[in-house]
Amino acid sequence: MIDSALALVDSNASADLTPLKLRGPASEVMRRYVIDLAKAFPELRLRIRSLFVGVDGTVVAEVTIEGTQAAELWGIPSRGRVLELDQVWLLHVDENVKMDRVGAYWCQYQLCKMLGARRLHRVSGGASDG
Amino acid sequence: MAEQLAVRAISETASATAVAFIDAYQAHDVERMVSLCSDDAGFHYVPYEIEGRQRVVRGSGKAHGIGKTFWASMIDAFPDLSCDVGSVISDEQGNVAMEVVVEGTQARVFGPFGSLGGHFDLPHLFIFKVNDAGLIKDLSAYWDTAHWYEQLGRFELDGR
Repeated sequence: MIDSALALVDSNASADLTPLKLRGPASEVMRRYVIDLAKAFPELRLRIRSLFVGVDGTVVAEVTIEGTQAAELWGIPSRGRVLELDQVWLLHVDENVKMDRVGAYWCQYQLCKMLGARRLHRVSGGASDG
Repeated sequence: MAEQLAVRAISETASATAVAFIDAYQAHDVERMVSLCSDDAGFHYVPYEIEGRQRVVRGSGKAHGIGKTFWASMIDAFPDLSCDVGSVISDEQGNVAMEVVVEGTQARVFGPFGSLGGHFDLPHLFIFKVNDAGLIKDLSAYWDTAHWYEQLGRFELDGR
């Protein structure tokens, strides 16, 4: 499933997941993001709240990801909490109908709070959660 | 050709409104910001949430209400507040998405948070819906409050 999703991404595409400070080749960044989330939220759902396509070919999608945490995510241990997080994704589609630029915004503070963390966490985790 | 020009005109008009709004923020001109919004324009600052003693204040309501209060409070607390516009994406329906880095140095209290003199620069994503009259009818913004609080010297999850 992850591979079929990544097949829509150009081999030279770049990704910038601002809240995680994760930037680099989309194939690596997106794989890590999707795998980490799927491990922590086995029944993860994604709901599109609004979407438009810019005249430059960029898709702007406001989405909500929903699920119940079942495993550690980015240093945040599972407390079985429910996540319902609003995000916005910018997906630029090239002339070959593949994504060549991916960006995303969401609030990591909201994510940490929903999952019951007491301190702020990035993707590297590491900090103790008290 | 004429249709193409019309489509371009709608897209460009909406973008111009959105850019004018951020220009007004950059100029600390809250009245101008509000004047670019329709009377019942929606305001959705998705990450904004402050827990007071009595209640939780969320960033959702009307641009002429909580929006105006939020912008005035930001400019008061961060007197050197500035905005750097990055990419602008628009369609032929009046939708505009804009990447903006907002930065400032805290000089006064913001909500329940006293000033530690911290400086922040924070990527934002604004989404505007602009009506046929060229006014903003809905405004949403996304940013990462964790990144904001880290820069202002706050690390506990209640932000204090």
